[in-house]
Amino acid sequence: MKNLLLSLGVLSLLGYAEPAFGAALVLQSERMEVGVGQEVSVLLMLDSQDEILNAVEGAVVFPQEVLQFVSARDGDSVVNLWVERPALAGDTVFFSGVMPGGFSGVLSPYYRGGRPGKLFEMTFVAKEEGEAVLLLQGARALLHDGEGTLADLEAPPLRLSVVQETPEEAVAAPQDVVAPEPFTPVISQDANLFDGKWFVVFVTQDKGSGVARYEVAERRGEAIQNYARLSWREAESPYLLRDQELKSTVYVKVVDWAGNERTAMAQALNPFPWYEKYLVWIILIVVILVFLLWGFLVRYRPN
Amino acid sequence: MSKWIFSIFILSFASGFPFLISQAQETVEVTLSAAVEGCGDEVIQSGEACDGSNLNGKSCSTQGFSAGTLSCNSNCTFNTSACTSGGGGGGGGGGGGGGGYVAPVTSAVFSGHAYPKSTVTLLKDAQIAATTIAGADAIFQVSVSGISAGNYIFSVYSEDDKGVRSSLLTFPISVTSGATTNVSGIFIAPTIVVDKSEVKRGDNIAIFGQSTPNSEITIAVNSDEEFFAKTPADKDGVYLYNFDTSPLATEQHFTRSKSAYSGGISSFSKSISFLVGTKNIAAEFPKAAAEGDLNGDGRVNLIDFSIAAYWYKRPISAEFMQKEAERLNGDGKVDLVDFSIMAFYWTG
Repeated sequence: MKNLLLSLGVLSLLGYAEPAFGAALVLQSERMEVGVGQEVSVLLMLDSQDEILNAVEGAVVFPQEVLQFVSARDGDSVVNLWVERPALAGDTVFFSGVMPGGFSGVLSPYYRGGRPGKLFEMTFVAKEEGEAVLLLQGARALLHDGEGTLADLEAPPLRLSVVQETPEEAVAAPQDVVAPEPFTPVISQDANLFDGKWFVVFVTQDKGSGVARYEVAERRGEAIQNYARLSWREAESPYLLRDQELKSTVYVKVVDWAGNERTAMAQALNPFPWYEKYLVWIILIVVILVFLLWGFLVRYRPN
Repeated sequence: MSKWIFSIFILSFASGFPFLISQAQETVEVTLSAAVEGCGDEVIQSGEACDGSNLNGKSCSTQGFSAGTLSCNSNCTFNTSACTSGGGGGGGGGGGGGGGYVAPVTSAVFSGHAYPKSTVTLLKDAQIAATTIAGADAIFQVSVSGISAGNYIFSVYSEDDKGVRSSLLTFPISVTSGATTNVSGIFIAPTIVVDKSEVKRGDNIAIFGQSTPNSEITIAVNSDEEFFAKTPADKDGVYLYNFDTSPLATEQHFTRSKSAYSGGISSFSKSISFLVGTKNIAAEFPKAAAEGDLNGDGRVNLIDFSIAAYWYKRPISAEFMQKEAERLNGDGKVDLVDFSIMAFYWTG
C-alpha cells in the first residue's frame, strides 16, 4: 500500500513537474486536412507555461502556392495593445503586441490552472493539392520583469494537408452580434509626436470577430447623435487632428469584422464661446427683427 | 512515511493549481489562494481564521450576517459568500423589490486586501475600468458589469498614503455570459521605498512602505546570498526596517518585500535599488511613474504607448532619443523591449 502511495506521489510530482521548455507560440487548426477551395482557420495561441509574459512578436509564413490568405482577426485576443496589428505582407503575416500587467494563462471557473490565450486567428482558402507548412519566424516573447528579458520560446510549425476530394465543411462559428467594447478617445499633445500638434488616441477590443477598422470624424458645433451625418475617414491611433484649434468634437468609430460598430467621442477642448456660435447670432437677429417689426406695426398701425 | 507522501500530493497540487475554483448555482466564483504552510490540515494555527471544515466555532451570525452557511477558503480565511443579511430592525432605507425575471448580468467582482483607505484601481484590458477606496482595514471590493463574454485581462493596483504605487496584479480571465465571476483573496503587494540611494557600507538603510494593517512583512535584500528580514506592519499598515549593510558587498543591490496576513501571502513588491558605497546619499522619493512615462504626466497609458508606437521602426529624433534613454531601455531605438518595459510599469 505504501509502495502504491509512493508511486502515486511520484507520479503526481511528475504530472505537475515543470516542463523542460519555456513558453510556446502554437499554431493550431481544428482541421488538419482541407479540400481545395475550402476555408481553413488557423489560431495562433500563446502558451506561457510558468512564465509571465508581456510582449510577443513574430511572423507567420505560409506557402502562397497552396494557401490563399483571407483575413487575420484579433477577436477575443489576450493582446490588449497591438504595436503591429496582424497584417499580411507578401506571404507573411506580421504581428507584434503587448499585454500590460503580464499574461500567465487564461483562468476560468471551469478548469484549473491557466490555459493558453489566443493571439489572433488567420483564415486561408486552400488553392491546390499539397502540404502546407506554416512557419513562425522571428518569434520572441518577453518576460514581465521591467527589463524586457527574452523568454525561452518554442514555435513549432503547423502542417496542413490540402486534398482534392472535399472533406466535410467545418461547423460555422456563431454569428457575432455584439459590438466592440466601450472605449474613450483621448485628445493629447506631446513634443515627441507630430511635431507637438494635437492628436487623438484610441483603442478597444472586440470579443467576437475582432476589430476590423477604426474611423475618425471631426465636427465643429454641438455634439450630434446622428453619426451618419459625419464625414468619416479610416484611421489608426494616434491620429493627427485636422482641427488644431480643438473646436471640433472628435468622433471615433470602431467596426468589427461582422459589421457591428460602436462610436465614442471626445469633446472639443476649446468649444466655441457663445458669441462665436452662428445659432446664437441668428436667434438674436431674429428677435431684434421681430421686436423692430412689432414696434413698427404699433407705431404705424392704422386707426 | 504516509505523512511524507501526503505532503508530496499537497505540494504538487499547490504548485500545479495555484488557483482554486468553485461554482455556485447562480454565481461563478474564482478564488485565488496562496499556498500556505499548515493551511489545509484541519488544525487552526496562528494566522488562520479557519481550516477546512474547522470553522473555530464561528458561523454567519458571528461574522455579522443573519443567516446562511459560513465556509472556509483555501487560504484559511472565512468565506461569507453564502451568508445572507436581511430582515431585522433598525437601520436605514434601501431594500425592496422582487418579483419578475431579471436578466442575468455579466460581471466580474474583485476583492481582497490593499492598504488602509488607499485608492484601488481596476484595469480592464489595460484601460481604467473602476476605482474604489479600501476600508480602514484595507479590505476592498471593486467590480465591473455589463461586459461581454470572452477573455479579459484584469489588473489591480493600489497607491499608498505617500502616493507610491504597488506593482500590478493581473488576472487573465475567461468571463462567462450571464455569470458573475468573483476573484477573491487578492492580496496587493506592499509598497517599498529606501531612504538612501547610496549607503556607506556598515551604515543602516531604512526600508519602508505600506501594506495591510498588522501584517508580517518579509524584506529580501539580494547579494551573493539573499538576506531576509521580518518586521511587523503597524495598525496603519506602515512598516519600517533598518537594514545593517555590513554584510553587503560594495556594489548595487536590490530589495523587495512581501506581506503575510491571516494565512494569505502577497506576491513580492517591485524591486528598488540602492548602492553600497563609501558615502550616504539621500534617495529621492519615488516619482509617480518614471519608466515608461513618455509624456511626463505621472502615468503610463495609451498616450505613452502611442508616442512610442509612432517611433517604432523609425529613426528617432534627437529630442526623443533623450526621452528614450531616460524612460525606456536607452538603446537608441524603439522596439518590443521598450513596449515590454511600458507594459510592466503600466498604470492605465
